[in-house]
This record gives sequence, structure tokens and C-alpha cells, in this order.
Amino acid sequence: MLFLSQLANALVIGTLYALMALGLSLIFGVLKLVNFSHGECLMVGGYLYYVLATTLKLPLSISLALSLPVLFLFGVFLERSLLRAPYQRRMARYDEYVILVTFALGIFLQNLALPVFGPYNRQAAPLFKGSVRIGELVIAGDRLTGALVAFLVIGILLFFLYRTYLGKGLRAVAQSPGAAAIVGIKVLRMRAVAFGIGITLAGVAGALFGPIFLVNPEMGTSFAVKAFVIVVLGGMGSIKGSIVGAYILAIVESFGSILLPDPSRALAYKDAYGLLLLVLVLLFRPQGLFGEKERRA
Amino acid sequence: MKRIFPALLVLAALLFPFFFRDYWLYVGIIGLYYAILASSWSMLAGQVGLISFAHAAFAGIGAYTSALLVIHGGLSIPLAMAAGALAAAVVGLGIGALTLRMRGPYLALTTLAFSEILRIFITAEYQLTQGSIGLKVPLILDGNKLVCYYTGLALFVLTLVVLTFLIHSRVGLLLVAMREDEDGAATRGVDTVAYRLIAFVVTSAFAGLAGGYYAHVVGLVSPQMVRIGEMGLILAMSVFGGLESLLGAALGAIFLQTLTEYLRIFAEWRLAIFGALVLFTLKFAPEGILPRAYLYAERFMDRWLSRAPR
Amino acid sequence: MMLTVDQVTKNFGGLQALSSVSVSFRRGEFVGLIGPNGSGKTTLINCITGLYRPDGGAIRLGEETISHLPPHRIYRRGIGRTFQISKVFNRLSVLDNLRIPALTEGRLRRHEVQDRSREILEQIKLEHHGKTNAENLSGGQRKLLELGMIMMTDPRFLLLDEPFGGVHPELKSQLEDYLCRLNREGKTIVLVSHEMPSVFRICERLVVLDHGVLVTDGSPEAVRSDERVINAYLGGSYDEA
Repeated sequence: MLFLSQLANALVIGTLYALMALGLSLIFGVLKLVNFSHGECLMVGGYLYYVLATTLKLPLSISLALSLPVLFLFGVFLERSLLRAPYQRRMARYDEYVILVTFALGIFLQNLALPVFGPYNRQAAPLFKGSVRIGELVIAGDRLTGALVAFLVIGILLFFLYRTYLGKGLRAVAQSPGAAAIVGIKVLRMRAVAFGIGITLAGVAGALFGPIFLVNPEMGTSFAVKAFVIVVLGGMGSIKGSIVGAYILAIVESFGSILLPDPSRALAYKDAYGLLLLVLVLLFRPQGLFGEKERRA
Repeated sequence: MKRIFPALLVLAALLFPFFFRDYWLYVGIIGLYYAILASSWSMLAGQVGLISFAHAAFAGIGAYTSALLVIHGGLSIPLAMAAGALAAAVVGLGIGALTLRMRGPYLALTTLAFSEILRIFITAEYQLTQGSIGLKVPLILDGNKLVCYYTGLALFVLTLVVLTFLIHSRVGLLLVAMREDEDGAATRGVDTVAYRLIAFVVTSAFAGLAGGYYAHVVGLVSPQMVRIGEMGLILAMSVFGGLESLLGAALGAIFLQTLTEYLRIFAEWRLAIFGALVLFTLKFAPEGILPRAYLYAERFMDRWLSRAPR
Repeated sequence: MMLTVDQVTKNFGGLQALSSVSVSFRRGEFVGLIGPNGSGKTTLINCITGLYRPDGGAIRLGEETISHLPPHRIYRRGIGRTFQISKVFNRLSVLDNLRIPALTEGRLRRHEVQDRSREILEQIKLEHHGKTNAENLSGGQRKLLELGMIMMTDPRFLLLDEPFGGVHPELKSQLEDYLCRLNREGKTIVLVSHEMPSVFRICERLVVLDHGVLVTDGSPEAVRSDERVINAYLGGSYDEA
């Protein structure tokens, strides 16, 4: 029974992890950079949903739906203001710049949320309260709806990437910006769109995590670390890898916490299993499960 | 001006305790901690092109190692501090060996994950570390501020001298070459992974040393030391002061540390302000605000001197 | 000592850049490696020098397999190369550029490095540019500097990727003479070039690649009349190419 409930929990949490990791992966694929503010963008999504639903008292589904375009525009704004110009003028030390600037953005957002919302934990209402019973297995409603919405969003994303013109354009830029530009794809616009979608995915994950865990200014860091572990595990920039990696991490965390006898330690170290996984991947398969092998010169 | 400037700085640093006592002297003591961290981090980020987010974590490792060795091992403080630097170097060697083989942002990713897990570890292992309450640590000479200050100054100068020597050595030349063209260096016999590893381990060791110093001048170490926000602070100082110069980054540290004191009333906004400052700097003066200001000052001086009657 | 490429295959995504290429270079040979654009010449050199790891097959130096070694180890075994687009260290002076390979060897002393770099500077006609930053050199001078860099450690094999590109015609004949002299001194040279007149003049053996496949391998005379080669170049005449 314990096994079954842990597994169910892992699948639910894994779907949410996949959502945020896909955002990171999409950004890496198209813009060739790791968004070190990903966790904080997730936090922004969490607060956005909280403010819409609790402070403005909008219906929950509308709050969620409304946060999508806001997050997308937020992402596009960030790309325009911080990332576009250095890319365009082929700035020296660009690789280091994007790491520094996204990390600094994360620090900024996190410490902006601190005085604005206070250090307290907030909890937004979930779309569906109560719980669902399948035999002896009980799944809390907030988790189940969270996973279902995440599942839906991932489905839409995959359809978008593989079946629509714009999505194919994004994948073309990810594979070869030069070739994409030659066939008339607007590379700069694709980069902005990819960043916008990536931030939206992180933000939606934050909104869905909000009711399950709690929303606070520092929530981003641990989620960001998880997302990093997932994309390295799955292979940087691989869509398939991000999804598979997310479930692997969720399963490892879920069952890992049973292994430690001391419950308070087990809870504390739940986040540490990711690092263990990361070390193993770097040792034995540094390119990740679905990544292309690249030789370090 | 190029030669006079550092000489003036050294003189000012040496005379500082004669003009500032107690509170501001203490600010100076902490400022030196950040100056060591910022200058060693800027060496890594600016000269070698490696972004590590574990610099604060390495300081934490140095601090806890040194503190625990003094408390439980009965080691003398200087010896324990050296051990703290060594511990940081060893952990740095492990992380570096794991991540520096690959191209791409693996070091940044792994060091960030490592910092976060280190914080969890320090908080959770209450029996060893006193968790988030913090560990009380014996002070250098019972906390004589003058001694603390000059210890910090000596360590800071040591950091600058060793790192500057490294930059101008054979290793430094190879690091510059690697940064200019990685494949070019590798196909002319440069073991790029090994030299990157050397730079990472050496700078991490200085972070560990700074951590040990911090532990024994403040008297309390807590998981706060290894928060991501601390790393953000180190980054802000280095970027503000200019990543390309060790001294610039150190001045950035002292400048922002002083600014912090004036921003006391906005305490909770402090890191948001610094974050915005970094974004602003990276966007408009990526070489750093202080180098830009220095340039303007130099130009102004030149113009003023040429106008003055002889 | 023989450098052997044994059935080496290299893929990029769906593209097979090298398919089961086998060729060997004997000591003291002067070999031209030719073929149309995209035929896999540079890929082969990248595989030999460790920048790419072959997907199949092996590369051996004498008895030792070197295809799993990182680039710097392959270099230290005496295989030096230049690049199609020169890889020099722009913000370093010409002399510092020359020092780089010598510093990593570890067996040269400081004054030996200095003497050697003076000597090389003269050979590559850059004696007045020792203190110039590499970024201020002309395209041809950068090519020469690259060659000079690897000559610092006196490798047995020189793999030269388009060494004549951008080199002034006058300098070009001097460079040809220099390469011939090095070859006479015992260096094995593999020359990738589109400058057919030069290739046919100085190489004693030609290896032709097309679409990742080794088309032919033989004396310049034999290659010149080989139909497959003519087809590979779309019927173009070498003397004009």
C-alpha cells in the first residue's frame, strides 16, 4: 500500500516537475542558455495565481487561465530587455553573461518578493478540494487536479511543437539558427517566443504547486535545482529527456524518503536526492539519457 | 595615476583603524571577508570564464571545518583556518573533476545544486552544526578588533598576491589562451581540463580561507552563510567592481558593504536593490561600474591637468 | 612510425561525414588530401587530432590506438595541425602564441623556449612582429603563425588544413618551399588544399575523398586521370580548380 501510494504520488509530482523542466529545456534548446532564474519565475507564477485567486477573488479557473498570457508577456519582456541585445551584437563573453544575468534576475525577483509579500507562506486554493479514492488509494484533490492540468498543458505544448508551423519554427531554430534564418524563420522572434513559453511553463507549474506546497519568496531555489537535475539527467535541450527525467527524479525522491528511518531527516533530505542523481549522471553518462554526446576538447 | 592609486589604497587600508573604531572597524572586518570572496570569484569568472555558484558554499565549508576543528579537535585557529581552506579545495576538486570535462554550463548548474544541498545538510545535522541557530566559534585573540582587522587585511593581500602571481605565471598564460580559443589550445597540447581545474581549486581554497576568517572574527557560523542570496551578494560585488580585475572586484565588495550600512533602513530591500544594480551594470556597463567611473575620473584628471597653467 | 586510419566512420545526426575511411600515412611522406567541399577532409583531420571521436573504426599511431585520447595527448605524441580558419590566440602577442605549445611540453627550459621561438619567427617571416598582438596580423600571417606554433615542439606529423588560404602569392611560394624543406627533414605532411597547382606540384601522393568515402589513393599522375575523381569534381579540371 505504501508502495502504491508513493508511486501515485511520484507520478503526480513527476508530471508537475516535467512541466517546469520542459520550460527550462525549451529555453535551453532554442536560446542555448540555462535560465538560472527559472525557480524564481516559478515563484512569480505561484504569487500571480495567489493574487488573482485570493486577493482579487477571481474564480480559480479564470485565475489560472489569466495567468498564462501574463506570464508569457513577462517572459517576452525579460528576453527583450536582458537577452536580445547581447545576442544580436555577438557580445564578447556572451556565455558567461547569460549565466550572470539570469542568476542576478533570480536574486532580484526573489528579494523583490520578500518585502512585497513578506517572508510568510501563502497557500492559494486548489481548483478542486477534497480527494479521490481509488480502492484503498487516496489522492488529494489539489495534487490530482494539478497533475491533470499539467498533463493537459504538456499535451498542448507537444502538439504545438510538433504539429504547428510556429512550433516547427522553434525546433528549427533549436537545431540550427543559421539554417533557420536562411529559410526565412525570424530567429529573434522565435527566441522571444521560446523564452515566453518557457517562463509560462515555469509559472504554471508554480501556480499548480502553490496549493500543494506553499508559496514563499524562497520556494524557487529548490524547484530550480530539481529542474536543473532533470535537464542534465534527460540530456540538455531534449524534450523527451525532460519528461522522462522528471518522472525519474520524482520516483527517486518519493522512494528515497522511505529509506531514511528518521522522519525529520527524511523530509529534509528529500531535496538532496537530486544531487545524488546529478553526481551519478555526471559520472556515468554526462551527456544525459537522451543528450547528444559532445566531446570536450 | 596607475601606480599611485594602489599605493594610496594600501596606505588607506593600513591607516583605516586609526580613524575608525568599533562599529566602522567591524564593518571593515566584514568588508575584508567579502573582498577576499569577490576578488577570488572574479578571478574565476572574469579571467578563466568559469561561473561557480558555490563560492559562498566553499566559504561555509571553510568556516564550519575551521570552527569544528577548533571546538572538537583543539586545533589552533590559524591551523584550523588552513584546514578549512584545504577542505574547500578538496570539495572543489571533486566538483570540478565531475563537471569541467564537459562544455557548457555544467559547473554553474552543479555548484548551485551543491550549495542548496549543503545548506540543507548544515541545517539538518543539528547535532554537529547546531542547525539554523548557528554554531558559536572561538574568536581570534578574544575578538580584539584591531588584530581581527589586520588579520583580514593580511589574508586579503595574500589572496591578491597569490592570484596575481597565478595570472602572470605560465598557468595564467595558458588560461588566457584557452579562453581565446579552446580547441586551438587543446590541439597545441594544452590540457584544458587540468588547467581549468587548477583555477577552480585554487580560487575555491581562498573562499574556504575567507570562510575560516569569518568564523573566527564573527564568532558565529550559521546556514545563512551558504544561502543563494549570499552568492548573489558576492556576484553583485564582483560585477559592480568589474570582473576583469581582482582589485576592482575587491573594491566593489567594500563599496557595497559600506552601502549596506547606509541602506540599513531599507534592510529588506537591500538584495533587491543589489540585484537590480547587477542587471543595470551588466546591461549598460558590463565591464563594471567602478572601472567605468575610474575611466571617467582619469579623463577628467587629464583634462584638468592639461588646462592648469604650468 | 605509421599513422593509420582504420575504417573510421563519423556521423553528424543523419549525415555520414566519413564512412569507413581507411588510409595510412608513412614516415616522411608528403600527402595531399583533396576532395570537393563537404567531402570530409576536415572531419578526418578533426578525428585524427581528437577534436571528434569517431563513431566507428580506430586511429593508430604505430601500434598504439589514439582515437580515444583527448586532443592535447594526441598533440604530445607528435601530431600537429593547423586549421582552415586560423586558430591563433588573438589577444596574445605573436611570441606568446609561440610559447603556448612549448610551455605545455614541459621538457623545454625557459631559454630554450626563447631561442626556439626566435628561430621559428625567422622561419615564418614574422621576425618584426614578435610583440604584435595576433589579432593585428593579416590572414596569411595568421596561417604562418599557426604553422610556427606547432613547429615549436617539432612534431613528426603535420596535418595542414588549407595553409595557403589568404596567403599572399609571393609568400605562398615561400611557404611551399618551407613545407618541402620540412618534408625533406623527415616530417610527414598531410596537406588539405583547394590550390590544385600547388598540391600537384609538391605532393608525392594524393588521397581523394568524396561524400565521406575514400575515392582513390595514389600518385598525382594516376589521380589526375582517374575518372571517379573527375566525377567527384563534377567534371571540373584540376588545373583551374
